[in-house]
Amino acid sequence: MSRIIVVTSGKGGVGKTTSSANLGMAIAKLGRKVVLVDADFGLRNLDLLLGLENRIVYTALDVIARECKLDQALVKDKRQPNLSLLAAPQTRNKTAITAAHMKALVEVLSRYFDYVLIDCPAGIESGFQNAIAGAKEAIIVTTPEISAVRDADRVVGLLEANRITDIKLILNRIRPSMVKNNDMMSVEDVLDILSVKLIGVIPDDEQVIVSTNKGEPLVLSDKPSLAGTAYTNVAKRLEGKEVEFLKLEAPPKGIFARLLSWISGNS
Amino acid sequence: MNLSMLLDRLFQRQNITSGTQVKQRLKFILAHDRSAIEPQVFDNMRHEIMRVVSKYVELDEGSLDIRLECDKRMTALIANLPIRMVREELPNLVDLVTLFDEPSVGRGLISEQPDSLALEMDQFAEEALDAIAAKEKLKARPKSITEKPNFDDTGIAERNT
Repeated sequence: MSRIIVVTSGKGGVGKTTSSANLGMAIAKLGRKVVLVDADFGLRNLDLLLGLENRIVYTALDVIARECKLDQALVKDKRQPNLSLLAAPQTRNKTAITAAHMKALVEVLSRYFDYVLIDCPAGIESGFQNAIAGAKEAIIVTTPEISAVRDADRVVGLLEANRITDIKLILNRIRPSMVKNNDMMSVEDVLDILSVKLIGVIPDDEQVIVSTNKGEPLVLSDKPSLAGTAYTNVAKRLEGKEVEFLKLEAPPKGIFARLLSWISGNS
Repeated sequence: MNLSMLLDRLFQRQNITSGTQVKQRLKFILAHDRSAIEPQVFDNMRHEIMRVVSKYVELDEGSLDIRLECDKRMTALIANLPIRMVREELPNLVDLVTLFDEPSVGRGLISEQPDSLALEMDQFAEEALDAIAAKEKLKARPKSITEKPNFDDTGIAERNT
């Protein structure tokens, strides 16, 4: 039984696409056949994070407009043959894409792949409705910021209204040192507010930017970064494995930092 | 960071940092986005180039790389078309037209799946899209002329006839 999962957040810029790319790659690495569907029509970016931007010939729109076959529009990742991408068009013209179209595509894909991961656009308008149309499960990505958590809460409500009740949460960009100083909501704080099952905590990691720069998802790296390991763990949990959450602790202050804070008097 | 990276950094040997890499990638992408060429037009051009080149050689469709590159003064079309093999004889005209419209053996986009699977998938997708189109047509039919115009393509076509 294959799984159709939409990755969504409500708010933009919280790491939806990064999460989709890394999760897709991580699950594929575990030996599952994965297709990533970019549902962010008009503003596609998933191809960039995967480094596949120059290999896209056809997009989902071409399939819907019958200008190509579905198989032709799937770009297969050469680094990880289990992973394919169905790219979003950069223009939203001609054929209006409806929820029915998306649902049909996703359902056909689900017969040939173990996982269909849909990268949802930000917002809760038609793009969101289209993206969730065929989904059976949802992963909500949020950050410990007031606006992101609020939007995540709205999205939970909307998903449930659309009969998607299997919802899991990825909490992104946690900064252990700030949490320790009580300057950032902790994982528990956010879970308390949202009451959604937690499936991953991703630390704020500079390597995320480095990996997007290169177009190589973190989980591809030989020497996994903290965030990369966190994504791999999410993939394992999706597969039903019990994996302990990473212990994210503030790195101990070095001697200079301690000296500085002692001097400035806010140790 | 391992030792070699440390040495690279010490001797400033670092070949390409992700910072320079991202600048190059962004340049390509922005050249696309900013060029007067519409993405749709560019796609059409790409398809046509592929069609013409495929007349003479068999391309590795999975490794194609066609992009716009922008220098300060001009934009260039850069195409990297890996050739699988040179065609012994020219395919006839009918084959040419269908070359990129019909799935061909060994197209290799989902090479791990047998080709019959890919064909079957395409078939299912087509049927599903057919069903949607049929439904939309059905919805558009009962609309009377006095009704407010809707933005549905099929609806407009119905009224015109």
